[in-house]
Amino acid sequence: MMQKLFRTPISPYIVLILFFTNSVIAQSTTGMSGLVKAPNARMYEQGTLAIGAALIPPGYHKRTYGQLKGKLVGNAGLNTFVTATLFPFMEVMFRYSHELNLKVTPETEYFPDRMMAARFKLLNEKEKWPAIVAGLHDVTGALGFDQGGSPNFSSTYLVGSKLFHYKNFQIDASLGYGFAFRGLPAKDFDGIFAGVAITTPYLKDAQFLLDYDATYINVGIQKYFLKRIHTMVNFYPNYKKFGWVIAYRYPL
Amino acid sequence: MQAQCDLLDRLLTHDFENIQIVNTPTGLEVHYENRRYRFEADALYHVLREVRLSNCLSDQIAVVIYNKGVPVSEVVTTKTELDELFSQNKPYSLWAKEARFNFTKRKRPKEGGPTNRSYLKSDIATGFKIDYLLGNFDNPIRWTPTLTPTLQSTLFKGMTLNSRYHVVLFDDLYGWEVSRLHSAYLSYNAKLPLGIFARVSGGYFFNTQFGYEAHLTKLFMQDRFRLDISASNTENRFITTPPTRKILEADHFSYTAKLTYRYRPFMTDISLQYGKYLFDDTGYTLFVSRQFDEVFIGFFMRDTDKTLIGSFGNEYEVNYGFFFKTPLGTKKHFKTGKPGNIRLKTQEQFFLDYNYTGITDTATLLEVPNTIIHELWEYYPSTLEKGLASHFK
Repeated sequence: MMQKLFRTPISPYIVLILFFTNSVIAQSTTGMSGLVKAPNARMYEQGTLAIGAALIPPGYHKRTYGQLKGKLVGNAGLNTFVTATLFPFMEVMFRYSHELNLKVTPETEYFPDRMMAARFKLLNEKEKWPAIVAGLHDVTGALGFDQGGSPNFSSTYLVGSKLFHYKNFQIDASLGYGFAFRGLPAKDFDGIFAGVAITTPYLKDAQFLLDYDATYINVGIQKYFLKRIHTMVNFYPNYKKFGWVIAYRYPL
Repeated sequence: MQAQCDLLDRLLTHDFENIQIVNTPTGLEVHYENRRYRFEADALYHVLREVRLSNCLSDQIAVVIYNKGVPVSEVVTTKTELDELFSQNKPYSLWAKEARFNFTKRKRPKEGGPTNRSYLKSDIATGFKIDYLLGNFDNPIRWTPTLTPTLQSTLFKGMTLNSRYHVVLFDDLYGWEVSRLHSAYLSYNAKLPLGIFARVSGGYFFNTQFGYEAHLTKLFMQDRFRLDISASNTENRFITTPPTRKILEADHFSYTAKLTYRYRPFMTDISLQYGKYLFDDTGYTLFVSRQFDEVFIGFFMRDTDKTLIGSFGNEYEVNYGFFFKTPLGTKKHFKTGKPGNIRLKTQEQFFLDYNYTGITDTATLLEVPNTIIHELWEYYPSTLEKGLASHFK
């Protein structure tokens, strides 16, 4: 893990820091609020609904069924999600994870993986305290409603985020820990994860994102258009592959 | 005695119906019914605005809101307060604290009669619904989208006629559905003493049921607590039987009681319902839903004595899932015109649910839309108060 952390040079990405601005909450590739993939402790205003999709590049997507379940495959994946901030302290998401170029047939026995997730804000950020959120991916598995079946993207975690200001820059730093819960393994975010979201006054409604999701480093650039359309282009340095997120967000 | 001011003409420009404006010892009473604006809170905004702009002299104002000719809710304030609100000298939150939103105990004034009556005016509401099933390897998404033109008519105070025709666009789910007359029923809506809303209906309902039903609803502490008691006696029957189908002859007697608590700061309803449902299963249903004006997002759990079969033939003990209800179509409908006219409008709400386990024929209730009890949520004091706030941001 430590080798992966330090193998990837980060200096080229520092240049990008100078070009992005304004504090904007990001939609991660999981469909919930977060950085590129790693979660953070930020939530949208209550009554916010987001509908979107995230591309997981070939070689980075894990198969969700069959003999190769859990293994990286050559097909790309597509997470399609609906996320709602029902209360100021609660965000819920429903997602289907599709494997592209694979049909649902009796021969393949493939069907998109579905997951419900929820996040709860335990503490709002204060002058000396970070915001803290508890997240539960695969709620139904955790509550025993799935009646067996091995979950693909389960995760339980605590994460804190603190906003720092440096000259005209805003640096939103996050640190979290994922663990197994009630027999539900930590398939995502197993261990320490962290990241930063950096905004500058030079470009409106955009951010540079850098995170470590407990396995890999991920880099992303995200921007809002028309105050409703969220886009992110992200890069997986370990795989030298690109992905994207697009979501339409509006207040209910 | 009708007030001699221009408020009646002002309200008529919006095509509000069943209007009566009277001076009483406690101030001006404005009685109206809205079938123009999709959301009652939007209609209320326009009424309050016209009250404020009118040349009526009385300062004390009580606005009484009707549905199907029956008085349901009221808002009590003063013209002075409305002036301060609309001129932005007073924030909405402060005005709402001083105004009184409640279910009304007032009755329709005996003097004169309502202007622009809503009776014998009909709507054809065009909407759609989607029945779907996910989770089979040979056909991952089976669905049947249907257009649902619905005739809605208030014949006289409290009495409604509803009839829906289904235009099947594509049938991948059932394999036998055809375009046909789907439902036709009469409902009588009333408000009994002690503020109990009541309804009796008879005819052909959804889920291929023919028979009659009764429903009582009582609210406590404004809309914080709600008790619903319902019963129905029906049999399986098509109005027009699709080709190749034979009805499975069976009678169904169902009864349920439901208690709902509304946590007003977050406009969240928690309901627990128990009883014998439409298709003879007995058990309970738990609902939790969050309201954002006209949008509802919620979760449900149903546990009855029926075994559930879900995707890929899996068996489940408990059915749970989520739903959303969202407004559809235009915020404002066409004017209604004269009695006997038929107005085209869009269906006002779209409902979609997702069953995480099991399918949808468990804990089924007889649904009776376009009745006061079915639409009561729109007249809740908290819904009106919160919905009005969006006009003053």
